[in-house]
Amino acid sequence: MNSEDQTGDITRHLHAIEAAEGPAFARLFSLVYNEMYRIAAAQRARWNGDFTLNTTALVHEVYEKLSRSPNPGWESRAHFFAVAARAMRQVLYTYAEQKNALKRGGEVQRVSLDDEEREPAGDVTFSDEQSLQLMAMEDALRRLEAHSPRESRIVECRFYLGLSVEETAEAMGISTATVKRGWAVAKAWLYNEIK
Amino acid sequence: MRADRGKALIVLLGEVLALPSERRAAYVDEVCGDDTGLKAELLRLIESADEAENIGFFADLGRRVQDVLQPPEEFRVGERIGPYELEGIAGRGGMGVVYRARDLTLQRPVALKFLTGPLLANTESRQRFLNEARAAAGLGHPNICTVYEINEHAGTPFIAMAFIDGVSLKELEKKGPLDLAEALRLGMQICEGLQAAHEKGIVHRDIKPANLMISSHGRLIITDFGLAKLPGTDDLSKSGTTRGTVAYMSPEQALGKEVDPRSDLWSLGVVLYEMFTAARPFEGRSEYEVIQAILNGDPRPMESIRSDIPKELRGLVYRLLARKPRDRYVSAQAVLVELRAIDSTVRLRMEMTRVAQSMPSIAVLPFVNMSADPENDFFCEGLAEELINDLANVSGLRVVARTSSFAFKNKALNVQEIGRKLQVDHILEGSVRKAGRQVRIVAQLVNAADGYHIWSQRYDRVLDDVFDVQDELALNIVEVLKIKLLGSQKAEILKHTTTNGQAFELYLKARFHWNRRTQQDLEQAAELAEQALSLDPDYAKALSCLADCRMLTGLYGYRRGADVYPLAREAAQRAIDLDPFLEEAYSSLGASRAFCDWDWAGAERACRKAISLNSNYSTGHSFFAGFILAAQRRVDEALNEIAIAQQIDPLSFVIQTASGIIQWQARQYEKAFETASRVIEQNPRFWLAFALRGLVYEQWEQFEDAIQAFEKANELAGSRSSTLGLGMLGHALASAGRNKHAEAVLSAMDDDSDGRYASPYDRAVICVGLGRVDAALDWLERSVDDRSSWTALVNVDPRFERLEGLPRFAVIRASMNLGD
Repeated sequence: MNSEDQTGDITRHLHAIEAAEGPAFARLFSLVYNEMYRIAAAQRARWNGDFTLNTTALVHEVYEKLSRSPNPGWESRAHFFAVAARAMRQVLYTYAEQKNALKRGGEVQRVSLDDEEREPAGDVTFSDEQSLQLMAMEDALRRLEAHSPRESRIVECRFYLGLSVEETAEAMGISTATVKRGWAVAKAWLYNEIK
Repeated sequence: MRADRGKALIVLLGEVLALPSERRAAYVDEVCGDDTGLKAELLRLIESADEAENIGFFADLGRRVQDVLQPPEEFRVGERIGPYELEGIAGRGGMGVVYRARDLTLQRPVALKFLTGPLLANTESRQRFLNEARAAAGLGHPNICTVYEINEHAGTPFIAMAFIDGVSLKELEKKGPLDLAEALRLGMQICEGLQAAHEKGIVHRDIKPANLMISSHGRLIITDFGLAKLPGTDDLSKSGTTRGTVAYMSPEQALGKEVDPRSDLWSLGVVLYEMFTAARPFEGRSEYEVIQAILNGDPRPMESIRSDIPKELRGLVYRLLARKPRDRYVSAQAVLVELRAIDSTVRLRMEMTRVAQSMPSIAVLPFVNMSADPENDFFCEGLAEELINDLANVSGLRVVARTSSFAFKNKALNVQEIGRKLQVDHILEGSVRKAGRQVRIVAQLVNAADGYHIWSQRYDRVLDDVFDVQDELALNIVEVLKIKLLGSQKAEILKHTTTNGQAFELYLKARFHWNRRTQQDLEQAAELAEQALSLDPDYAKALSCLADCRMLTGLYGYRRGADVYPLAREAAQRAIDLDPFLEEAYSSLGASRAFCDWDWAGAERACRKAISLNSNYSTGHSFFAGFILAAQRRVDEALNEIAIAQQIDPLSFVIQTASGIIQWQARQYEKAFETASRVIEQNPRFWLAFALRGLVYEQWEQFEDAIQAFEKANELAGSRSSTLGLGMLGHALASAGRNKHAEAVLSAMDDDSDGRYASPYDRAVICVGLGRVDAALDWLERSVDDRSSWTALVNVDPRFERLEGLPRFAVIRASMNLGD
């Protein structure tokens, strides 16, 4: 697993996104990511032990929050979901990274894509196994991304965001048959990498 | 793996996976050809796909990944913090995490709120906060969340407070606007809590739906009192912590000015607005815009969002939202008074609607003119109009007015459609055929739900005088319809009630007020019943209502029993003469026999008659138990009887409290206390429940607690109540050794300038508390003469126990036929 500090990692991630998708997408991504991270941190405190993150609810909350700004920056709800899926993946990865950093005894750094003040997220508590699984997943996904960005987008929507096949198709502007096929391929690929 | 090879592999994998499994192997062979490496990789991936699916890998990983967000690790379930054991997370407020915990010493659930952040690093501001929070903790009020303690754990201050099993108003509102009556009920409780705090000089500063909890019993509880002034949080410009709450911020608060209680009233205005409309009065796309709207805009008209909000209520909300504090109400109390008035109007309206909707209903359509002569249209319409007028006078029947019914003339609608539009379950239609002087009229009653004919009748007449025929037909048809629509039994009873719609309406209003039981309401109810009787002197139900009003006026100690019971008896007797099946009248008759004539056997007969006529008559059971049986020291029977009343009407506070009073009379103090607490939990405004609690405290010799309970009871009962509560308070003061105060209460009863009847019984209660036995006996004798409320209950009143064995006391009891 990489050992660079996370701020650097995210910045690089953002550069990669900007290179691949253009500056508008990158700006939007950073906006959505920040909001999502903030809301997730707040939600986390509300949850009891048996709670699992309702990613769909989280995304809706982010959507509603950002929609209220005069120029939210996305062309459609579907477009927003495409961005949100990417951001969700990043949020979860960030938590995994923090956990890893804590385990290494390092200090948790505040992860921010802009200068906005944000609540510290320090108290992430998921098991070592979870964090390793998640980081392995991220690694595998990055390799998949290198071969086939479309499959990796599908994973973001289906796996990280919890969208249905139909919702994924709408968010990505492709057919449901393509989503189904891509999802099957990605699962096989990722499992083969991680198992 | 090279990128292009990987890409090819993924494309191939997609193709293979799209095939049915039995065709996959052949396809792999075909596309890979001699490339054994590619083939091996592809086969491995296909195998992975099946395996992943079989072991549910993604579902499992997904679950674990989504488990990522767990409660913070700082505090764990099961951890001990002082006497508290953490059980889980209850929520998160603006200032920190709230935990659900258990107080292991007192064995009660608590909520622990930890206050975090740099705000508290500064010792001075921290001290200021703690002082303020401690002051707020002193607010003991049913509508304010109780704070048990403020303490520190490992340097982090926390507040231990009552755990509220319920939801916040914010969550409740997610389902849309609240029902009008419910919103009013909650609004009044917010006012009560605010008033209590404001009286002690404490301003909440952050009244918003998230801080208003509704317990599972439906009680509204304001939380976070005294927390809003946390240094830093009241400074809008400083941080984003106020995010999402600017909507409830008063203009003066938004400007950073000093705030007073009227700022909370402004926030209350927003909360009320939101409860009624599920929208906010001031909106904007950003916080800045919201603040601009608050500072400069007008609230969005409520009527544009919801049409059934009464005008008075809209006015009240707008006044709360006045930009200048001085234009708002002077206090939460003033708002409360107004809300109560609106509430009773709304309830009355609802009650009338409910009664109207439960009645059978009918629309009379203009009769169809089947003859050539258009002149006959006049006759056809006239006949229908006559029918409408006559039917409108039938009590218990809702009749659609002429204009609505006639709107369907010449419209090609079937009766089912018309029934739906007019919301009636019956339609009367008919036809008129005239030939020379002969007229044939056919009338038919149709079930609007299915279009079936219920009844149909042909009338052949010689038309000498149009009006004669109209009258005769209308009467004839109405008589038939009464039986058809109301059933023969009810039609029979109609004789004893009224055919006068106005009298009926007056009666409904009278019963509405009677149900509220205050002196003012009872007086008003009696007046309305008398008005109904002036329109229809033989209206048995109105007579019975009048009897009930007078009976309760005596029973509740609003007036001298000797003055009102004879009147009650007279009205009840007349009602029974008119309608021997009227259960309520027998209860009133029973009460006057018992408390005026001291005729216990006669009273019991009347009560049993009332119950046998309608075994579901809960008030009858309760009355029989609480007054007739209890007074005769037949407590076991009384407890059985009141249990029946509770089964029939489990939600009645009056009946529940009455059962507690019988428990008190039966010396079952633990049970009585439980009963009182249960009622208070459900309805923290019910004075008698507090009084009951006080009565029990007294018997436990917790006199200061008793005094507090009685003071609360008297405050809730208001100045226009009877002296019952004063007697209780005076007795408790005397028992606590505060004789001077007790004497003051006693002499305050002499002041009857406000027309209040000072019951000698209540004076006797205070005297016996003061140990002035002779004076107590004097007053009791007066009480017997006066037929004052509760006089007969002296027989079971624990406070008079010390008089047992005194000859004079025995004489008094014997004079009421209650001797041993």
